[in-house]
Amino acid sequence: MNASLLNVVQNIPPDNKTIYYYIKFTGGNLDELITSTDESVKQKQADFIVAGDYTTFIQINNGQMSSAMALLKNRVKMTGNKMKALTITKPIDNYNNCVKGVPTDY
Amino acid sequence: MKLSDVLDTTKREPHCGLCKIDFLGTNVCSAGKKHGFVAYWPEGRMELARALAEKEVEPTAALRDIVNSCNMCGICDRQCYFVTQRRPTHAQQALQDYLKTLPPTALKPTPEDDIVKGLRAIVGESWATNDPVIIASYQRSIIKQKSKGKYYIVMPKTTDEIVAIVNLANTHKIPYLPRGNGTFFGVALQTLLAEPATIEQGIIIDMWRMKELEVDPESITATIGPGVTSFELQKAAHVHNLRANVAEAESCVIANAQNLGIVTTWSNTYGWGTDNFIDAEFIDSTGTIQHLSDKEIPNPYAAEQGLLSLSLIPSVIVTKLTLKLHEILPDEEAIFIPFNNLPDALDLAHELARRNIGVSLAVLSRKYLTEFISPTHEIAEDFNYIAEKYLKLNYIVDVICDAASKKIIEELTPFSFGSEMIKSLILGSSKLASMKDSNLLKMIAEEEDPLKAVFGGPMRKHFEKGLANSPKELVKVFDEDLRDFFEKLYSKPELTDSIWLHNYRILPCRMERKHMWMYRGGYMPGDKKTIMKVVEALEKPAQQYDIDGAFGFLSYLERGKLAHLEYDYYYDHTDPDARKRVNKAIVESWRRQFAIKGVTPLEFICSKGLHRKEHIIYPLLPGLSEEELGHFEELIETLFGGEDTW
Repeated sequence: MNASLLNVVQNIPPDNKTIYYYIKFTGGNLDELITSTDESVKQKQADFIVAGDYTTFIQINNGQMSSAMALLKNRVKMTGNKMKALTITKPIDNYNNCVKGVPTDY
Repeated sequence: MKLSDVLDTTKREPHCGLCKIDFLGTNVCSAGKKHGFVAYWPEGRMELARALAEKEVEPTAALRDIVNSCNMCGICDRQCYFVTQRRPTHAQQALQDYLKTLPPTALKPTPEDDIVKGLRAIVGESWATNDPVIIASYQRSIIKQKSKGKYYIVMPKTTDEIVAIVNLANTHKIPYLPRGNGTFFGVALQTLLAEPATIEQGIIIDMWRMKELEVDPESITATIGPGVTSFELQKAAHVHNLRANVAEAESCVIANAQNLGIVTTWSNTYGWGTDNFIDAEFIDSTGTIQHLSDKEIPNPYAAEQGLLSLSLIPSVIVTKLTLKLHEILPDEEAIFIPFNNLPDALDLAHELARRNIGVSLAVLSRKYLTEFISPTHEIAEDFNYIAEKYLKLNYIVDVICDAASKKIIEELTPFSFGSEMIKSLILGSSKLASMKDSNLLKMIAEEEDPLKAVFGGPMRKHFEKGLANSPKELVKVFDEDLRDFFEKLYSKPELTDSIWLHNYRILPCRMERKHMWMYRGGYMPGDKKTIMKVVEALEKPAQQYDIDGAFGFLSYLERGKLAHLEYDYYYDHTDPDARKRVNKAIVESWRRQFAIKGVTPLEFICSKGLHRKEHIIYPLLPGLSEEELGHFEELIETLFGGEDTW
C-alpha cells in the first residue's frame, strides 16, 4: 500500500488548538509520521485529509469507532480520491488498532 | 397484568409516531400533549414496558409520574388499532400493575449533573432530562437498543434555544442529534444501519415543541418549524384549498425534507428535493444560524456522490423551512388502472409522466393496495391472495388528475376504475376476504383476462354487488368494544375518499401490523430496462436470504427522466436470525444496485434532501466494476464487521 493521510484534529482543549497528524505508508510500511501544531505540514499534500474534533479522534484512536464509521456519522470530513480511500479503509483500521495499544493520557 | 404478558405487543411496537397526531378526529393523548417526552405518549409507554420487562432499565421516580399521567381514556387504542392493530392501554395496564409491585422507596429521582442543569437553564425545568426511564422510551427510535451511552433529552421551543444547546454540547465535547417524529429511525434502527444512524452518547434534541406553522395563501407557501408533521401541514394548507407535497402523515416535514427530499406520488407534478422549498433556516456545528438565502454562505448544495457518500446523520439542524404549496384543482378525480405485470404498468405510467398527466402518479403494488385498504392484516393477506390468484391484479397505475386528463387516460386504457370501486373495496374488504376460494372467484379466474372481466366487463356489476357492504358490516372484524367508534369513523366520507387518503397518507403504517419492514430502492433513470434491473437487484437478495420482499411503489420524476422506487423487505425484527438475514440482504442489494449505471440507493440520498438533486444524482454514476465492488465489501466489513457480527 502506498498512501499518505493527514488527520486534522480540531478543538483540542483547553484552548481549542489544532494538531496535524501526518502518516505516510510506502509498500505497506509506515514511512513517515509527523505530529505538529504548525499547519505547514499541509504542504506534504497528503492523498487524504481527514478533519474532525478531538473527541472523535480519541474514539478513533481508542478503537471505539472506525474512521469510516466516523465519516458515516458526519463526525469527520474527508477530502481526497474517494475511490482510492476505499482501498485503504482496512489498512488504516489495522493501523488504528496498533495505535490503540499505545498508552495515552487524553 | 404482567409486563411479560404484553411483551409480544411491546416488542413489535414499530415507533410510527402516529399517536402524536389527531388523524382520526379523536384528539391525542393528553399526557403526551402535556409532557412532550416520548415516554408520555402511547408509543413510549410501550417501549418503556418492553425495556422494563427485558431489564434494560431500572425504575426511577419518573416512572410513577409517567404511569400516573395516563387516565386510560382509550384514545390511543382507537388510533393504534386502526393503524397497527395494537392496544397501548394493555401496556399501560401492565405498567400500572408493575408499579404497584414496587416499594415506594424503590423509586428515586435521578440526580442532576452539570449538563442537564445547563440544558434546563436553556429550555426550562420541565423540558430537559437525564432520567434513564424517559431515555429508555427513545430506544429503537433514535437510541440504539441496549446502548450503554449517557444520554440527555431536551425539547427546545425556539431556534435560539437550539443554538444554546449546540454550544453547550460543544463545550462539553459531546455529540447531539435532532429527532423529528422518529419514523425513519423506527425502521432503520432494527438493522445494521442502527450504528451509523445514531449517536453513542450525548444530547437528543426532540423537536416536538417547535410547531410554528404559518400558511401564506398569497404567495402559496407555508413556513414551518421542525415539529410540524405532514398531517398538520396538509390540514392547514387545505383550509386555503391548497396542498403540500408531503410524506406519510406522521413524519415531520422538515426531517423528511432534510433527510430524503420528500418524494411522493405528487412528485410527478410538484417535484422533489429542492423543488419543494424556498428557504431554510439552519444551525451549523458551531452554533451559527444560517439561511439558504444568505448570500455569503458556502455552496449549500455541494454533495458527495457514490459509495462514500453514505452519511445518515445530518450536518446541520434545520429549524425553519418555507415550502411551496399547490392549488387544489376543482375537478380532481382518482383513476386506477389495474395490471397483471410490472412492465405493462411501467409503460403506461411512463407515458403519462412524459405527457405530464397526473397531479399524483405512481405504480402501486398489490401488496400496498391490499395492506393499506384492509382493516386488519389477516384480511389484507386474504385480499392479497385473491388479487394474485384469481383477479391477477398485481400492479395499479394510481392517478389523481383533472377531468381532461382522466379522459385521455380512459382513451389510452381499455379499462380502469375510480373512487367508487376503491370505496367498495375498503368497505367490502372483509366480505371479499370471506369469498376466498368461492365459485365466483373461480369463475373470474377462468376468464381469458380476469382483470378485464372484473373491472371492464359484464362481471363488474356482480363483483361490486358481491362487495356491497357498510361500515356496520366492516367493523365486525374489530375488537367488540371498539366497533361503535369504528362504525362512526368509517361512515365519514374521507375514510373512503381516494383523494383524501392520498393527501393525508394515514394508511402506510399498516405495513407494520405484522412485521417490521426495511425500505430498499432509490433513484434511477426512468427507462423500463433500468427499473426492471433494479427490481431484480432487490428481489434476488430477498430470495437469497429468505426475506419476504415486495415491490412497493414507483414514482416518475422530471417527466419520466428519473424514477424513485421503493421495494420493501418484511421481516420479524424480534427474531435475531431474521435480522441477520435482512442485514445480509441489505448489503447484497447495495452491491447489486451499485453495479447498475445511474442507480443511487436510497440510503445514499440520506441527509442530502436540502441539496440540489442535480448535485446528488448527476452525473449519473457508472456502474461499479468488480474491483470496486470488492473494495465496497471491504468497506462494509470495516464499518459493520463480518456477517456473523450483524
